Amino acid sequence: MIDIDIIVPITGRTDDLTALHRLRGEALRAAGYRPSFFYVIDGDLPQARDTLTALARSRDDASLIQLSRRFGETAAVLAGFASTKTERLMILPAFEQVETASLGRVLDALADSDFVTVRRSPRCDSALRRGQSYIFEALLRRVGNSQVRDPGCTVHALKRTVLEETPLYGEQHGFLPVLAANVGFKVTEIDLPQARRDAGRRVQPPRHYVHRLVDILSVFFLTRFTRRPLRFFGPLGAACTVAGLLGLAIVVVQRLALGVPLADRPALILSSLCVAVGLQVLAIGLIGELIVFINARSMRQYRVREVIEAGAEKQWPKPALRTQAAAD
Amino acid sequence: MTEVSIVVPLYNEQDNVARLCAATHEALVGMPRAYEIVLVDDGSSDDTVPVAAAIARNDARVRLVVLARNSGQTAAMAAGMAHARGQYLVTMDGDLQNDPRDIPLLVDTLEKDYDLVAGWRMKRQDKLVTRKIPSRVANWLIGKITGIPIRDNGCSLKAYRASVMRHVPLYSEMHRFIPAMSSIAGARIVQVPVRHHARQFGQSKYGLSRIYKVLLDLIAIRLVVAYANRPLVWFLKMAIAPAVLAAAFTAGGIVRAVGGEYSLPLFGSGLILALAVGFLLALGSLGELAKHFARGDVVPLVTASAKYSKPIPSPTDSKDQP
Repeated sequence: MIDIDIIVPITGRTDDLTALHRLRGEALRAAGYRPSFFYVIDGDLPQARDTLTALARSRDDASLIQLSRRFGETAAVLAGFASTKTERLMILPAFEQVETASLGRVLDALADSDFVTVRRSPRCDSALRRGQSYIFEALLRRVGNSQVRDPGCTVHALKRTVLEETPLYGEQHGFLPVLAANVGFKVTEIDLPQARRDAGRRVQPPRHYVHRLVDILSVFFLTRFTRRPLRFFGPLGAACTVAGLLGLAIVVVQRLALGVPLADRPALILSSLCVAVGLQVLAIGLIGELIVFINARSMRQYRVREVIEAGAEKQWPKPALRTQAAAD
Repeated sequence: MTEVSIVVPLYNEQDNVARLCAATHEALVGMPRAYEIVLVDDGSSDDTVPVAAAIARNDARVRLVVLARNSGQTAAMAAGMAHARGQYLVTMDGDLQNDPRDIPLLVDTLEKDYDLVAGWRMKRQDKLVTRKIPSRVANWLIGKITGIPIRDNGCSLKAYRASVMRHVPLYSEMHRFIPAMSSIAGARIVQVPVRHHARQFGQSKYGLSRIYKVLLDLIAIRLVVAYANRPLVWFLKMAIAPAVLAAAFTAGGIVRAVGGEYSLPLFGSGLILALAVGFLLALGSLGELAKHFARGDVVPLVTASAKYSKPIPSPTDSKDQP
């Protein structure tokens, strides 16, 4: 039997947690693991708290962590992580997303990988939900260099070092596989059948989609331009400035040499605006470069997998644990 | 006690690793200093790692650092330097285009009171149009913009004092600009002509496509090299041109207004540009703030006086050239 600590962030949607706890425990024990569950309640969810308090009192393999207010799913995961001890971890949603009986396979796949994420396949969702997922996945693949085919599935198994070394921000728990791959961890994706209960009925409020879009944008920026902000802002700003300067030159020549009147056209104001905006965008890129330079010596540029030398082969020692303010 | 660490980033160099190590050992037979070779695999997709690992396991002078993913040449160099034990660091390409026989010369020069010895490829064995001419233009630009006129920034064969490199931030694709970056830290820099061979095996990993990136990096380097300690000054300078334009437009508008005719385009443009000036100044102040809250020194001061010296004559004659 292998000990496995499991983090379950609870942010809203839940199934019957008592039954789910029992089923998941049985499934994992049958696969040869000894699970302990860490339920993290994010904010004020009295119903879940009552259920889980009773559960945590009556069973050894359940603990409850209550955050003082709503911090977001990532903070909940990190708060749970602080209590875990095992080398291998699992993160599960507070509802049945894939067939519970097959959870052991997720952990089995961790043998030759640092991070295992799950694609729900076959899926029994409605076409509308599948369409949403498809758009989300396609966007993420384009902007985040992501290989993950089902980023909406939050059934994850991972090694401890992944959470220690991957910088996490905001609400991006769902992007964990993309960010981990970006740090250099080996991420694999396995197919598991979607749970029937997970299928279909929900339509999210518009706020949800806006949040997702913002998160995708930040992943885009974080995975590509954190080291070189000017490479993002530079071309934008330079193009805008150059267009504005050209416009100014044309307007001035027209006015002074050709005598074309200015007053009834927006050309001068538009050109000035382009110059002004372009310079500002450039300047923001430069401020970014300055911040990167100032902090460069404490930034991680690379991750060493191993050091090989004559004599014993050794793993490079783990870096100190990253502290997360939000999880306090 | 290792004195010299030779750091070699490798990316898909399975055919070259063994030759590289052999050539280095052969070249350094006569060198009275203890040395080590630090190979850094930068996420190769071919058999570089198994080949290099076999060498590293059997040879106490060779170590292999394997990076988890392809992180770029600068990161690979930084990783190699972090794992190096010597007080002198030498970086070299993994493709055998540099000649390890130049290493003793570089290290000896370094010991004569320098912090950085940059090699320059006197007889470069590369294609003229796609490699040599762009490189000449780039070197001229880099020299002009950073103020450190290095003849050959693309030459990886360089030697550094480890104590100085600890203070030089290496990130993104900074390896091209290490001389400029280390000059911030007050490094004493000298150039030495080195040999260069044509590539024998494998593919060249550079092309012309990176020019705009290098240009943007240059602007950034210029900013941090000259203004990291006083960002507001840089933004003040950026604000001069829009300020002049704003003043000109507004003055034109006032002249018109005095003549009894109000000009919306002139006043409007003046206002917009004045706004940009204000914004730039605000950003400059923000830069000062970022500097203020930086941990430690923004610009490390290693030696009191930096000096740049002309290339010293090389002991390697042209008859020595292959």
